[in-house]
Amino acid sequence: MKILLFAAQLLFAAPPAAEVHVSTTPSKIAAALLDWTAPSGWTESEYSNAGGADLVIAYERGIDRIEIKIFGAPKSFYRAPEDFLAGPGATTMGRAPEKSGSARVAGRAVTVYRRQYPMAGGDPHAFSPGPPRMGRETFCVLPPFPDGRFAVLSYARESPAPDITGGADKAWKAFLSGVRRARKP
Amino acid sequence: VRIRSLVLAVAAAALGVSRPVAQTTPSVPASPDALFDGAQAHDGVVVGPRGAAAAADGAAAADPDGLDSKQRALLDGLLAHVDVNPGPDPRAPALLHDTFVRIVRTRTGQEMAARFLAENARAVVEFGVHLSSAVAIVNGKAVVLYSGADTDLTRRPPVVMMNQGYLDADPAWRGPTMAGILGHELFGHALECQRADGAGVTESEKHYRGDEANAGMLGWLIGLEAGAPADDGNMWSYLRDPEAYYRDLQTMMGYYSVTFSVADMKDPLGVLKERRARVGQARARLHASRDDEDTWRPIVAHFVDVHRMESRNFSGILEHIDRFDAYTDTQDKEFGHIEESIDSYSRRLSDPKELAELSRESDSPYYVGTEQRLQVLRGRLKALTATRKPEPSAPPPPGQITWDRLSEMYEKDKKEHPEHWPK
Repeated sequence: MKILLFAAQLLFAAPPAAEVHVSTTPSKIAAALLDWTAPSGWTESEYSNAGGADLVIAYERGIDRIEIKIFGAPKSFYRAPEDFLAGPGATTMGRAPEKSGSARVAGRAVTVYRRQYPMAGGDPHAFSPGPPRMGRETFCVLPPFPDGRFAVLSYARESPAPDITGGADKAWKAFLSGVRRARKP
Repeated sequence: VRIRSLVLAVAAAALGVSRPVAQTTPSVPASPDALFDGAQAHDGVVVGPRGAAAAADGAAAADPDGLDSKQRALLDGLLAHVDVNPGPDPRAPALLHDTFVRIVRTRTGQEMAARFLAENARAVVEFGVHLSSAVAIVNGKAVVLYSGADTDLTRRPPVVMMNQGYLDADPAWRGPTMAGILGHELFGHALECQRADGAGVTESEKHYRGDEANAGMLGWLIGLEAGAPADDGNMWSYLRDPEAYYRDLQTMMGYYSVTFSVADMKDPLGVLKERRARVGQARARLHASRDDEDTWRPIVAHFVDVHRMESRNFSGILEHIDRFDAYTDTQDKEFGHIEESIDSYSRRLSDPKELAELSRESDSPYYVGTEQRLQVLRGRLKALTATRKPEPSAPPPPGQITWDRLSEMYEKDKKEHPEHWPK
């Protein structure tokens, strides 16, 4: 916790590396690899991690979030699908994700995984008792593209409680069925 | 001063320190995940973990803390740069000493201690009362709730105040925890503010979002290397998606609402305008989450009232919903503070001089190096967590209904007894 000179404000109160350097956007780069239809009525945002190497296109509605993530570029946090599956984007604090079924996505049969993931707990300096509050995520990893990049499609829910309406799950399945490989990757 | 010089001389000898040859001595190539180049010059002195490694030997047996010569040199050097003020509690000196010992036993602690010395940084470490904090018994252990420490960066040297509640905490729990917390404050905030001073970016660094990420990862690494469990939700969230982590934090807490990426510093007013709009979205999202979980209350009541299930079997779920309701009420107030914080800083940035200073400082090489280090730290943390045995998942208490089980029961009952669930 920092106590700063501008504490009074608080009372009332990315280049160089962490963001996109390229002249295009994550969604445009991803569109060269995949075609997809955005879930209707969901809010879209896009950004990158790992100095612009890893791309995220996110659609949100309330506490539900559908994402397209592209990894495997040079300097990516994940070099290959196996690396991703063993890492913090796929495990539950190190425990492997559960295989919950399969789906046909972009013309290929893929394994669908599910996991729980710890959600951010507010103040990074604060210790809260008990295990962290967990969200729920379902995801699949598409086979790599010829250049080594690969896409992860996911549906996350920022709550331990299941979606009682089933609406987000329907949107997710519709989204998955609409994903195609781009004609000119 | 004399004692410090002597200790420094001993530390320097063990670290393989050489005198003014910094200009001519080729630096040792850093490993790809080194936290710094390992051969930084300060006041004509070159120190680094490589030199320290060469000095390691089997002296641990004779050392009062069981340290090898490298660790001993780093500890002595560190303690010569840090004024330790344990205060009146007779337990405090040994506890703080133990925490420093734990830090220099870790890989990251060693590298950062060497860096602290190389930068000729200084700090004060003391115990103090942290408001809104408490020692509580959790799972049979006395732990410190909420803030573990803070660093007063308005002072030079910066003053790290550890929560004195640690004195009453469970020793097995507090050992690695305090190592991580002190590492976070000392090598994160206290060191970085002095590096920022040296780079001429003091003002912008106060608003640099990477400062917390850097401190966070250093603390997590040192804590994990010292034996703390890998169950920190913030750590896993950052590892998973740093940008999403920052975006969430910026709309959840007042301080973080006025922090920026390096790119943001070029247009902070535009960023704050967009962020203020996102506070409203975050509020709506939180309420949606609370409403969503509250929809399960009548479902639980149905199984208790109609199906005659034991209400105690749902206590875990109901307590969870209650806690989240309370959290939502608290966070609702924080949203107001966040908006005020954003408005206040926006007004300050309406001064063209302030705006220009932020933009100018963002061009500093300091930020290039720090951003690169964040990538290294994230990679190291990923590697460290990947090699650890996963934390055991805590099974629900016997008889407790889980969320998945409740969901299955609900779906089954809807099919078998649609009359129970009129639309």
